[in-house]
Amino acid sequence: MNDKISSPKKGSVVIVGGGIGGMQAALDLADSGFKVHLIQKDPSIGGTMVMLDKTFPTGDCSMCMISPKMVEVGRHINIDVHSLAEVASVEGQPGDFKIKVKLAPRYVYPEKCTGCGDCEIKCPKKIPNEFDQGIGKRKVIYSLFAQAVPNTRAIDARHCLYLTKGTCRLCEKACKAGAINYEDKERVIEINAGAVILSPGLDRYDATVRGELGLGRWKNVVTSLQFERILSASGPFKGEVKRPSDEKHPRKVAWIQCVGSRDSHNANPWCSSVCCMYATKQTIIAKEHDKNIEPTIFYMEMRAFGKDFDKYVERAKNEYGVRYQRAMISAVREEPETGNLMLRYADEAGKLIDESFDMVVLSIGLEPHKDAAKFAKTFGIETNPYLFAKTSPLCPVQTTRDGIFVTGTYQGPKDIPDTVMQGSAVAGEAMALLSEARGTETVHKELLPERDVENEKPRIGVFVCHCGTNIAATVNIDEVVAAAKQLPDVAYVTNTIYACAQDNQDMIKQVVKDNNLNRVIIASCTPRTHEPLFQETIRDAGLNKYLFDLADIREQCSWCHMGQKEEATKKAVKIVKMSVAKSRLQKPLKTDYVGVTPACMIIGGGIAGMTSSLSLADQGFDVHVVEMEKELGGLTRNLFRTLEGNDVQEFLKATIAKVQAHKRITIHTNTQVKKTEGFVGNFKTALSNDTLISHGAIIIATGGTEYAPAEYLSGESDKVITQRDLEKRIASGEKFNPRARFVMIQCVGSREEPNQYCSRVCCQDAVKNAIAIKEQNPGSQVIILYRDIRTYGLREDYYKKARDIGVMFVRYDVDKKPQVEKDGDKLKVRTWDYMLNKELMIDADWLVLSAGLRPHPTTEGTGKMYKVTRNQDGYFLEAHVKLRPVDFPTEGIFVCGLAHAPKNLDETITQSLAAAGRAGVILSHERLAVSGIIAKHKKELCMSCLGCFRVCPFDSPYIGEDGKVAHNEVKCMGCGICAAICPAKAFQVNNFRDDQILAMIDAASECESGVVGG
Amino acid sequence: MITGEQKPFEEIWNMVKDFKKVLVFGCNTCVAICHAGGGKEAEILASLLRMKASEEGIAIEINHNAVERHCEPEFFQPVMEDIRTYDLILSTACGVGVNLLSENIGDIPVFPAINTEFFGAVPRAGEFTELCAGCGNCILHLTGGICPIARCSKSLLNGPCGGTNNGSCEVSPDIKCAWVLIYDRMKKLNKLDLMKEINEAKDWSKAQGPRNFKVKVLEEIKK
Repeated sequence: MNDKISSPKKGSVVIVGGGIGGMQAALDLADSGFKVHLIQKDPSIGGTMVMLDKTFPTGDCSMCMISPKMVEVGRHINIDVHSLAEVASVEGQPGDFKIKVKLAPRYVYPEKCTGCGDCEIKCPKKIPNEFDQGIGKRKVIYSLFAQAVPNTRAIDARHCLYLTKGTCRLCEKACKAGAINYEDKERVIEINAGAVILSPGLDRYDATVRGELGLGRWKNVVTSLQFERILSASGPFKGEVKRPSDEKHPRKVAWIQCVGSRDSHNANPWCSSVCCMYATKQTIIAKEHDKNIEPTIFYMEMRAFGKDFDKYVERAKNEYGVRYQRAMISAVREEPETGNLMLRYADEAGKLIDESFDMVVLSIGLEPHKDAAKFAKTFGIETNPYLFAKTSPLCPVQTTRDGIFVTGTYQGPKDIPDTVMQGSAVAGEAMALLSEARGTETVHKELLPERDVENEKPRIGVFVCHCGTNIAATVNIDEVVAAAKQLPDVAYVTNTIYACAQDNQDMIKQVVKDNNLNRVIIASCTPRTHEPLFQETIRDAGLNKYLFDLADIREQCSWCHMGQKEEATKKAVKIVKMSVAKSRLQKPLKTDYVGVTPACMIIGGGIAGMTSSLSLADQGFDVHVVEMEKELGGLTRNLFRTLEGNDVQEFLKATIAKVQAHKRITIHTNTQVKKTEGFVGNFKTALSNDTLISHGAIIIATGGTEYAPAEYLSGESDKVITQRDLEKRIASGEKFNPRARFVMIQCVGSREEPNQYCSRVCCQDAVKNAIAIKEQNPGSQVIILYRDIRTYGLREDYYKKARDIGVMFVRYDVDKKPQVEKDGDKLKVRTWDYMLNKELMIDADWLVLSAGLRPHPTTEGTGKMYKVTRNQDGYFLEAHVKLRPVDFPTEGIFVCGLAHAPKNLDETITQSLAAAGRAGVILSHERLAVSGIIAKHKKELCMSCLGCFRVCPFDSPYIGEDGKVAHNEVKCMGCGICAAICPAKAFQVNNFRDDQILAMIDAASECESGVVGG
Repeated sequence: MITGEQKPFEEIWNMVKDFKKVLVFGCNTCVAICHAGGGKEAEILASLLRMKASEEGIAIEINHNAVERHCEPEFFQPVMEDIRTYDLILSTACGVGVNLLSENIGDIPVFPAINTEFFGAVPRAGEFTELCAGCGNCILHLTGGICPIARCSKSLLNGPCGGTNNGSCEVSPDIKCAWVLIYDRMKKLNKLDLMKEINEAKDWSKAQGPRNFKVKVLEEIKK
């Protein structure tokens, strides 16, 4: 079913690589009217994130966050997942590419395979499991991991006895579905698409090359990814921290940082960006799994440059007792009898120390795939010398070939949130490129009419999930099933290994139909991640989705009561009882729709706001940019060159000109927001210039400010300047004394209370300016006093270059900060040198302070106006630090740029494109569905006491024209605070009504209904 | 609005523990807004008491109910028949409600579950503050709309005492000195000269109970 007439451009996008970045792009695009072909080399999508155990700083289970997304991708009607597939060639031009895709033989019919796994049990051959990083084993017919999408098994032809030796065929006998197909052949399909997104992800440095570190030689040396699998509940040791040699619990564990990174002689010259933080996370999680572990991290520099990262490291040190030892380990030796490992390092005082550890984890870096050169050639794009896709800091997601975009670690090493951000950014770029073809290739799902169950007696189906061993190892599933069978109105009970697996979804639908069920309960994990999925499942079966309930027997039971099987089982039974009590009182709820105004208001006309505005305007939406100052540009006006050498002012001028010329963009300078009313899709804002605008989304790009230092004789000597002043002087061609000596001090006003965060940009600014000075006058001297040089990712090149051309780096400690005094026209800087173990006295002609960034002063007011929260440091807090990096919990409002956290220009541009992509998803809809889980207000009970009005975080109760409290249900997010505070019980949250909650309490306390405590 | 706070639970328990059938009876007007005695609070209190009773192993039947207002007899008339089946009414209404119900109910005791406090404003959700003492002889026109009777710890009529301390009262730094507030307000209103006039001793007879009054118009209508 086509929405629009055809356009010369194609309304579809090919995405190569189904990791978290590719999936984000796929979902954003498919949700906004584009057909997506997701090409995945492996048998399942998921990429690297699925291998991780937990993610920091929240400690959320990585699989649990990504699994619902994978299932969403797998089920999305407008996303075709082509697994075991590789692109062979790309021809054509932006808007109309012809892509040949090679599909490797799977030897299993996807349409017949149910994913039951019977074949796997029968397969006689075991090989090392690459998903568990070779620690565990897998069969030759396999799925990559339990929650794989698609969950179709595949035969690994390299090892299959029948395919290699012509004998066996056991899987064929085991398969009741007749899904085995030994005759399968490679096929080639051709896809016609408007744009291509590359998200092939990363490879990991092969540390066996470094024999001196002992990987592959000493059993108790593992890579960080192997350790991640060791920590994982689904990993080889089921989440117990054991060392491989004897499966004993290690006590002293050492992490060695920068293995394969920052080493231009033996390995990769770049910084992998993520290892400092994942090592910190692993120490914390290891401590949580086993409090006897004593972790030590051996590192060169702690690169905790991201939002709230420093706080996390401080927590590791102070709350978990993690030891951070600044030292590069050059060799690991095994003590033959114990299997322990001896590490030799120099301590702060330069003394050599030998220390024995039970286990060593190598923090291996990231690198492009082995076939990166060929990959680039296939797509006709250029790479940088390290074979990452070549991009410019000013167009960070654009490859050298128009219409082909790049996201994630293929663009440069980065962490999950930055990858997700880039995922939304490339989606935004593709939407802008193909805007007129939006909706030309998508189809709509025809839903079965909902069955009217209003007058039926409840017939509840209960599915008790094993979650592999996550639940089943602790809770006796059979007992839970048996107990559920005894409960009133329960018509059907069964158990399932993974309720969330795609084949089980189909099973659930069938059961609902066969047994005429009108309520469904799944006893498994948290509703936070899995409820939408299961709701859709029962909707597909013709039931109103609010007739579903999730009984959380994992997070709230098996995980927190590990090892207490009997009690945990009792509790699981009670949780199911409560759920049944609630389910019996569930009513079908109506989903309402509201229209969408296809326009966006962007607060802030800096580079963030302008970038978002251009993307949205190109996508075909009207944009209002509201800038409080008299001209556009924001802080970028003070930036002259990027680290890589791009002319920023030229770029800024061009961007301003584009924004001014765009017919869809209205610029309001010297203007502030007076008041915004409304809700997602339907905002109305009054501006201080007396215009009233209607818009469907808001992007907050209010930026930040530069800290004006008070330290180190600032303002007392004109020889003390900031890094930004210096940049301006260099750019304006100021000639410095060719033998001048510059001393730079890093972290001025950053990484110290009350500003315990890294400003992220200052290290690069210092390196950039230092290189410029040395290139202008090789005879001048630059000495940078630093705490940790944080030139992460490919920026490391410039740190190396600075050292190579003679810039000196001297570390200082926060407890022993440099001292500055005036000496006539010059300055004297004293600092402790840890290499010499002596105090240095440096005569300086110039003292350059690397002043950090601060949230913009309007941040607080803006936060209050839109009821969006800020972190401790005053930056806006996104909805989820990993997976929703530009969203706010309030729908329709997005954030980007410095308003979110300190970041570099390329990252600001990326995030702004991402915000535009996310806003585009909303604005592309003609109407939006409103959740049925909202508070219902009974006006006749209400006494207008204003309790709700004053506490609602979303502004949904209001004082109506009659002077009494009324309720705007569209704004309501169903949080239930109003229901809790209302003294008259005038508010009841759908599906969380008092009668339901009381019934649940009664079920838990086994009271008669309605007599709590009776 | 009349404000009140629920009594300590132990005190309430001691009141009810020797009875067999208790009704926790809420009032849905003033005390509901201050989260002390509305139907919802009565329900919660009844539940707490049931739990306490089962913990102590004492058999008491404890139920709850609520009506719109306890200060007008018509509101509780419809439930009077049911109420009379109890041997204790634990009222969560203000003291007015407890009195009026006691007068109307016959020989069943009515006990208070809340301490009635003052007439209050609600500057923010959940915060109540006394601004008027109901003295029966209002002088707010002389004091810039800020009442020294309710808001000065000594109810002084002619300026602050020696205990005023940088804008606060010596009783507590959290209490603002009413006379400093009055001064600031009068200055803003450009009426500082009014403060030079002496307020004569107040006629406190109008503040003494028992008080009552009749509205003339209604008297006429009744005739």
